[in-house]
Amino acid sequence: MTDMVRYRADPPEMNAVYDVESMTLLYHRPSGATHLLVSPASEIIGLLQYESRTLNEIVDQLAVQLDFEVDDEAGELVMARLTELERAGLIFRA
Amino acid sequence: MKYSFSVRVGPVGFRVGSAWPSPIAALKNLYAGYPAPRDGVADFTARLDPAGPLRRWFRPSIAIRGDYTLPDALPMALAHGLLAAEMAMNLQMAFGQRRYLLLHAGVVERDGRAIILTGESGSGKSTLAALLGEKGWRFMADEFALLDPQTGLIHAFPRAVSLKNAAIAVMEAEVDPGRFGPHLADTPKGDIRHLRPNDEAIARMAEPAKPVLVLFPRYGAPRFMAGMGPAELFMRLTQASTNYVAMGEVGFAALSHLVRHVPAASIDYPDTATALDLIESFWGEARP
Repeated sequence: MTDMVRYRADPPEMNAVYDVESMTLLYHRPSGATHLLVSPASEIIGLLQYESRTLNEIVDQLAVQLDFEVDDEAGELVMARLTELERAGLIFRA
Repeated sequence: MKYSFSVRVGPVGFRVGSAWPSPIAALKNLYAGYPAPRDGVADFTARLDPAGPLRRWFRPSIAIRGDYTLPDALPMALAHGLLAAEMAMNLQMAFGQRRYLLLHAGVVERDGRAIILTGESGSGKSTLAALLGEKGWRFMADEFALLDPQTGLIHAFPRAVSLKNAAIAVMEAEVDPGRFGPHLADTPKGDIRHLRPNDEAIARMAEPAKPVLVLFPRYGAPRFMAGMGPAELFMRLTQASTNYVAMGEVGFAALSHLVRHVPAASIDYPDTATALDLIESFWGEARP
């Protein structure tokens, strides 16, 4: 898995967040856009709000939080979420 | 404007100007008994202008103008002047309202608690709101529910109810004929007739209510009801709002609070009697 790129999210004060059932409502203050997030998107953002991380680092942390095995499939799934979040403007490359 | 009319509906004052007297006369009749804007100052101005240099006299047609305008809107016939005036007021609210989060919905109230009826055009929400207003509920709104971001309350906005096609006969069978505007045939939305809310709705328009239930009615299907989760409710209400984006984080917070504290359901109904029965049964469960 590629591990050269470091990802980062805006600090917590840049978002207004409410959890409703299994989803997270997020208002991104810099853009004024509203997002509805499901796991692991909100967890990924949480991991990147104070420091940048690579894909592998993110996968390792999520595996502990969400209790899954670290393997290639997990890496692909997390990479897909990172791509979506980057397109949405909620994370960016550090 | 040569002819004009000013009116207050709930917390919002309007001034409607017109190049012709007939739409203003129709408005005055339809809104008989409504108060004037506070301190005589309107929040929004709408105008019915001639659509072209000669259109005031020759085959008169109306261009809807005002504080906010849709430049590509098609002109309307003078015979539909009352509808044009109503649409002009809706336009000002949809584009200019910033004090309240607007939801495209009907609202009825009982014992200080409100039910929000929302959904797509043709779902029957206007008819249901009007009917409930004649059957022991206070009619609060037909077109817009005004959600106060500071209090979470719904403020009444009892504009004239826009009844379409089959709904006209339903309400003609229920209320005093003197409360209706003219029958407008072959409008862009079909046949339309406006209904003035009853005296209680007008007298109590300054009283807000606490929302306790959001319903998504759908007319024309077999009786069915299903609960709706807050995430789906949030998404659908952003779609039902004309000013959610403009309200920014204030709108987000207001809507987030609503969906986290107010239950929602969709109800399908084949006829109004079934709908009224469903709503009364939901009301019995929604009350604390």
